[in-house]
Amino acid sequence: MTDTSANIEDIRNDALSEINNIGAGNAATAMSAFLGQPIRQSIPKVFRVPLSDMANALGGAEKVVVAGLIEMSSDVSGFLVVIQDISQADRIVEIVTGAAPANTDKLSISRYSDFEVSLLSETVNIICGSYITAISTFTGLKIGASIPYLCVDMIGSVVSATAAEIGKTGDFALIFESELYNADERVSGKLILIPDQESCNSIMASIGVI
Amino acid sequence: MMKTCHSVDIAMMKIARPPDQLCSLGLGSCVGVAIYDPIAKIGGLIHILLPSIKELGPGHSRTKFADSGIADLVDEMIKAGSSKSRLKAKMAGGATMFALSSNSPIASIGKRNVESCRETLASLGIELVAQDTGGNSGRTIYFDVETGNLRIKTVEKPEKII
Repeated sequence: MTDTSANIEDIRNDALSEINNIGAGNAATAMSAFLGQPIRQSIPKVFRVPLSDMANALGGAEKVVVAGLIEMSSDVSGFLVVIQDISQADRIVEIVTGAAPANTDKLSISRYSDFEVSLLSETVNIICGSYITAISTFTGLKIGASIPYLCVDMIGSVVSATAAEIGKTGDFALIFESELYNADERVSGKLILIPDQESCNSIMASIGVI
Repeated sequence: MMKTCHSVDIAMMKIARPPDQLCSLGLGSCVGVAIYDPIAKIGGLIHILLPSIKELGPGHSRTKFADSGIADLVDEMIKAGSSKSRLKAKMAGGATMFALSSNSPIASIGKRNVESCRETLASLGIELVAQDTGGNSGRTIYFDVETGNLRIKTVEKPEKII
């Protein structure tokens, strides 16, 4: 790698870290309002992982998680995926409704009632919306968002559908790790940003990297 | 003798002989295609991500795609001592994980992967003897090279062998 490309890589990482900082900050504020209690964020980390390591980087291919997905459109196209542990999603349900989820013996979407599904979808909306605002503010690009889609299954299988999208363009995914905590526990997990190559270029161009 | 299970991750392919097994954990829209030669006792597994290399052109890893990947796996198996005429295939995966609107590219990726695997196997003259594809659940598969059995696990449904 030449000096120039190393610099570009540095600037790129700084820009991504900054987007992550702003996004996680927005998410913490919005989740505080939603859950009615103070939420703080851990120091956010951002890393790029090869496609084949993505499931491992997120806790192992067979681990069952609650995954939320939002499709981005307009100037940036691609996906945002929020990965939460079952225990974290259960906890969010408990904080909001005051009771455990409908069917704690199930490890599929039927674990949650319709109301609980929409409540968890709303957290996906909040977290993704926070990041979309961050990317949009930072880059000046216009980003549209779909409604959230929720799925409970093995991590490998939930990321593979979106991995297919990255597979078309590059061989890496961006993982923003920004954990949100209330007084004593973690309430939210990892976010995977999967822009297509063209969108990556637009983001980088708008922050002056290319 | 201990059975070693070799994990075949996204866009990878591997070949094994008994008593070793091959497995792919957490297949969603991806498809695991298992090919075996019951006489030479050679088995191969590939973890397909996308339908066709033709949509993207060169510069991509061939084992990511159904068309180029399955062809390469068959070549490797012949090099390893299999006879093409004896090869049989089984496949699993190709689920739809998120109920997205139908115009989204990832809504139909599982289905398109399965379709391309089926076409590629047919064009290579390899018989597809069993499959467990589609649906809305992720799958973990274990391929027993000795017997040609493909054991399929999902989170909530009972295990099955095809």
